[in-house]
Amino acid sequence: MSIARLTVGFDVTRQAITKHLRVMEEAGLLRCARRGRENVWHLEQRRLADARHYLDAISKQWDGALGRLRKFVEE
Amino acid sequence: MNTDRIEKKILLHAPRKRVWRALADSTEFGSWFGMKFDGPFEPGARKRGVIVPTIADAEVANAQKKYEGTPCEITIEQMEPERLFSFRWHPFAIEPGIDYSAEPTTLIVFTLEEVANGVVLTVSESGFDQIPLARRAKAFTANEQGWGMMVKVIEKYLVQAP
Repeated sequence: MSIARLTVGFDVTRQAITKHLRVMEEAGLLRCARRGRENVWHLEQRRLADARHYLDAISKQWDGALGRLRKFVEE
Repeated sequence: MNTDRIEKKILLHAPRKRVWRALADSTEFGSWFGMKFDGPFEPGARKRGVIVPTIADAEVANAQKKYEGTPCEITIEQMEPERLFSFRWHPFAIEPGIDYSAEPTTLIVFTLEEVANGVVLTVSESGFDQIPLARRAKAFTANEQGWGMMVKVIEKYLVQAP
């Protein structure tokens, strides 16, 4: 998808969109490819899945924390 | 599936007073949670902490090792003795040198319920939907830069890789 299409329907500038696409590219969520005169952005599916699975990691961290709390109060 | 919130419950075989102290006393909380705070918890207070090795669990302490010394700030919300303790923080705030103060926080709420053989402690963390995807991805990577709320809007319109 090109920037031009991304801006349709949003009250934002091309510059603002580009800036945020670069942020996501830095984070590894997007890839940018040149097609003729345009940049076309592609989603990195696996990285997106990783980012979503972070909630699972947080959930496990809480499991761990509660386990430590139990040891702490029950001893 | 609720993407905004995580909730956990645990039955603790300990008196209610004991459980409350383990939450409300910043030294006690820190020792099992794995953080050292700069003073006592009070409603409304902003507390600075650093990640320290946790007690009693070598495997976790090892996994946390790379974060040791990372500063962390929490803002205490409510403290209802022996019933509820809540605070806010930045959940993925592990990159050194970043100022997270403008970013969204998640809310952590501990509630205590006395039952026949102990205390059921419920902890919830909510507000994840407001955390932009780029921030979550950066928690995995070493790179860092600023980001904005619009990233969340943009992600809906991205094309899939062929």
